[in-house]
Amino acid sequence: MCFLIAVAAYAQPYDGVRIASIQFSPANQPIPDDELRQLLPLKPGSIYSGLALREAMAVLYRTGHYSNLSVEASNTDGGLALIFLTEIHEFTGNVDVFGLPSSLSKGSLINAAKLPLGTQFEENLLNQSIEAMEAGLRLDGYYESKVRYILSRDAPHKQVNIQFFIEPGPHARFAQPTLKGKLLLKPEQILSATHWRRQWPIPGWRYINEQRIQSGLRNILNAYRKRNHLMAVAEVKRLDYQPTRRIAIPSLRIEAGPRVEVRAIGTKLGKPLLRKLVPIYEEQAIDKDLLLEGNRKIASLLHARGFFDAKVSYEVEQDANPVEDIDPQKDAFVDYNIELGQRFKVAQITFTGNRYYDRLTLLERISIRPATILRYRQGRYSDELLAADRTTIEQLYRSSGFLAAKVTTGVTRSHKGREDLVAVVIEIEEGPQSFIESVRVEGIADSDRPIIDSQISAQPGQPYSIYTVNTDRDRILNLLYQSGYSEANLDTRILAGSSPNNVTIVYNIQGGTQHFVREVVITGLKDTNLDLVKRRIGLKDGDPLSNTEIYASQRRLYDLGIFAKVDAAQQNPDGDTISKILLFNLEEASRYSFNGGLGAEIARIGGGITSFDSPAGGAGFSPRLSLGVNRTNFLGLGHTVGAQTRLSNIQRRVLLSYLAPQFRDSSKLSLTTTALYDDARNVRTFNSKRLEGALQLAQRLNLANSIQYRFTYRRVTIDESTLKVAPTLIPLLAQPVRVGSFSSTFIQDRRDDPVDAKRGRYTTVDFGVASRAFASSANFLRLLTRNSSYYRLGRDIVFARSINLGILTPYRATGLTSQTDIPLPERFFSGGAYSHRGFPENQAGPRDLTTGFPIGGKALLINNLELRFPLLGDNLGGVFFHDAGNVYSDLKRLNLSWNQKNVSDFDYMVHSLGFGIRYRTPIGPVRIDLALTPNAPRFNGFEGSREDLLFGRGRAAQLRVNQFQFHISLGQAF
Amino acid sequence: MLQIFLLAFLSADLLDRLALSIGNEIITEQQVLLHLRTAALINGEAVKETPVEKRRAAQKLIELTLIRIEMNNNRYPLPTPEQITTALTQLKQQRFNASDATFAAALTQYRVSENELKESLKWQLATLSFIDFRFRPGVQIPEEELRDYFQYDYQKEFGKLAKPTYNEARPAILEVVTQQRIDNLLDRWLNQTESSTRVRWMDPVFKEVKP
Repeated sequence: MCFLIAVAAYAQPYDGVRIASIQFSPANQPIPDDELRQLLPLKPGSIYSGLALREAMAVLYRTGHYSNLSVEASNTDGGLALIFLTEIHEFTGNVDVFGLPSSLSKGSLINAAKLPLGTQFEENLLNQSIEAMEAGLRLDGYYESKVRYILSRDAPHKQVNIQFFIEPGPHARFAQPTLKGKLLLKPEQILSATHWRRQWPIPGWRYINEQRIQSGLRNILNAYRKRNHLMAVAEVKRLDYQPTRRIAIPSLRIEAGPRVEVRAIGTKLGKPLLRKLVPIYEEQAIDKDLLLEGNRKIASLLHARGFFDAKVSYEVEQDANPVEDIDPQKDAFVDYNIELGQRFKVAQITFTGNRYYDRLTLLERISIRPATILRYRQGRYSDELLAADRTTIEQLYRSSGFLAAKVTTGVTRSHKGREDLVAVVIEIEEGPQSFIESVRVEGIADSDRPIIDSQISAQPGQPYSIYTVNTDRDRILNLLYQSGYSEANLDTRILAGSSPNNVTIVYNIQGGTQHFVREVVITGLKDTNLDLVKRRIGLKDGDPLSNTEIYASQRRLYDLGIFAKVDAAQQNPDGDTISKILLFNLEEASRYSFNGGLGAEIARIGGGITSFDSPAGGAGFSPRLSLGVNRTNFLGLGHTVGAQTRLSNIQRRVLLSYLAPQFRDSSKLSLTTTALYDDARNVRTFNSKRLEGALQLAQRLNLANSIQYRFTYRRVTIDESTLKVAPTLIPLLAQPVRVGSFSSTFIQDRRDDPVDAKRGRYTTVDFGVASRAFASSANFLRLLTRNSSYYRLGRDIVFARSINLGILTPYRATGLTSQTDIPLPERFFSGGAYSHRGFPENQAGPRDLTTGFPIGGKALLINNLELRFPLLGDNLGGVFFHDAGNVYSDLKRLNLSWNQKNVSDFDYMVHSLGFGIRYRTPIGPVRIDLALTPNAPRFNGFEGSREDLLFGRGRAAQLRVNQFQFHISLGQAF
Repeated sequence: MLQIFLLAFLSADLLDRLALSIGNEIITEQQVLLHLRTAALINGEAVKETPVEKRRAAQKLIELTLIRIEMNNNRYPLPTPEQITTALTQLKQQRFNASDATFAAALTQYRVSENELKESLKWQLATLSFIDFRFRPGVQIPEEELRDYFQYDYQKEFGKLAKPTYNEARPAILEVVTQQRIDNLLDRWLNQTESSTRVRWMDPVFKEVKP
């Protein structure tokens, strides 16, 4: 005990004594020695003071690495020897959960534990985490769950990884709830609304989970709302668990509340619309403010519909009397009295005083609209929209240096003597334009000035704009953050210039401390190769701590597609140290993913299989089933192995693939190997079986351009019995084909939206060589190009065009005829929803002269023009299109002639005009196209079966591709 | 090895140790003791370094630290050296009859250096200025309340004086009521801030050392 007293007793003051040495205990400190000594305000050789010591202790504590500190001293010959006795903090590392029932989310349970990566770890706080997790499990019906944990320590990094083990116990089911409060509905109606009891196929109570509890309550409220009890309240007061029966009895408190009926008087407004417009439904409350908000919204809607003078007021009736102060406990009628007034049309919007911006630019920026034939039949106008437009135009001018710009508006009724026409005049006083006289940067060293200057876009002589200043601010701060100045700040001052309307911009930078990466620590990997992850983290020891690079590293890791979660954090984020340990904690995604789809094709794909009728296809229906499985992160390398199958009346297909993304650690390269089995009759002339192997390297050159290099080897066999050509040609065309080819595709995509482009260009050039050198049975060259471009006409109309050109050229084809130099399955087949809409699928081009079935060609030219415009609202649009072109028998026969010379001539340009409808969906527009083809090809066909043809029965017929075609598909045509 | 360690340990003096932490800031045991000694010096009382007194002083220091953090975050101005010197001069005048010798003797007696006393005065001034700056603008007293105070509470507060008219007493009443409101606001702010800040007490510092 005396020893303890001796230790605890404070020493006589040492103030004024020179410090001889400073030591730390334990010697192995969490901060590198040089950084530690740099941080510490006390240095050997300096004079000791109690004040300085306290400051030193505070500095050490602020590093966040210490949980306790004390300082001892002893006198030595050279002066005072100081020893800092430290207790060192640990930090939270990887948190994982095991034994979780599959119905529960691992992420939400980990979040409930509240153990953020890299923060200070205290084992005594883990009990709170366990309680929170058990509470989460109880909410999901696991009332007897137990959670325990195991810690594993990464001593060098002071990191503690936590593994929680869940013993969930039995999963409780719902039981008959007890109901309290003013119900109004029958208990069975309430129970039915909850969906907590399954009726079919086997009646019984469902398992409890939080989502089911919440959806049950929502459904109860909806049941009351349907009956106009807008303020109904439903809550679960408690769930009484009965362990022996493994059920939990919900105690529900329900207050039906008053019946509130909202009516529109004076015009017809549907109930769903009223519910949307009057916020008492959404807020589940009724007061004056919400009712007035309803006034405003209804008026705004009516203004937008052309009733610019519409007046709306509300009136509340309770106990059959009009009331001013609403009693939320009593039934009420809320009547919106609407005086529509005359319906107007915005005939004209005029801008005056605008010199800097032209009318079109201004019109694009504002919301009010003049009337148009289809989309805005009355135009678009309301006082609110006009007020917002005034602000928009003023802001536009201010962004270009017109700091005093002022916009006023005038609305003229009875325009051109017609009472229903309205004209809007927008008067713009631009005022003087301010220019930048000079730009000054303060707070940086001269050596850094060129780098900062390179980020500044404000230049002397430019119009002054707050947007330019904000852009510069963001860019400079971004650069500083990237360079490890995470606390950087920037103040901007705008000073008057030497002459009126000139300003000087001053950027004052406060950089703060530059932080560096001490070490990168990766946790959470199970199967993934560590090097694969390391190579994608763009920060290494000693680099400036850049948040931008941390996010980029996260993105690269996510791009591998093998991680469900990539957490990146600084260890000890609030600690005041120069260098930081950077943590990447990864959660590997499930390695297997399955997909399945059920669909159908409705098009001119029908017609007999054995009969030679309908060579140009009849309306047909083909159900389609697709199934697939992918195994990601194969061998821990981030590669994906997949199998996709498709089964339909016209196709059986199996595709095996091996994808190596970010090949050779380059985000621009990917390598794909595929093996394909395809048994198809998508060309009506024959059934083919295709076995194909391909190796493809894709290289992204930049954001717009990419190249693919591909070697393909395939063997295609044609089922002789399905080949619908003249019997004499069958032995020639039914030969099995082997094609070994090397091809390359250049893709340039400058479209604004690949799914529904409004502007930009799209070009592809695909060139391939099939050669005997690659074990091909035929030598030929293949070129297929496409060029599309999209132009905006005004705000909503898009003009789109596309041209496709394809050429197949045999070489060293000695001894072969023009019918056999390019194997039948390798020829161009075209026509259909995505090429020439005047033809059914793959029905363009040359045909067999006896049977009339398509036999493909060696050249292809198709030109598409489309005018895309809005029809109704924002989602329904229309198109007018013109498709022209064909598949030609040979490049030499390619021509633009309108006329078909005779029934055996297919080398002419087929034109089709059409109209289509597009309905916008999140996965692209759903479309219906109707095409009329005035010069659809006529051809000789045969009515009868194969046997009829062989034995001279049946009869020849002159047929024609139907002049009317329809296509139902997804996505734009090009 | 153990002997060497014990010898080394026995020969070393404990200079200071962590008493408590408030967020990222700390208060050391020596700061707590210094606060007790400084307060005793200013008030002319005997120094009591019992665990109870230490805990009370530490609680006071927590509040001062919270105020200091707030002042740093919001860049409140600190007192100038002249203001500190004036405060010290006033203290000498009041407590030591302006005698430098008496003052120096007191510093020695209480083991407080002049710099430490000045530092303490600096933060007292800064805190007073912060409280006034931060909370006074938010205080609005209705006239009715001032009249009520004049009617019911004035005698209790200013009882020995002859009761003046309301208009004469109003400035003094306004100041008293404003100060009460400021104190309430300060208490509420301190409670809220302390509850949202992690405060760790190092128990050994505040335990009784038994002989």
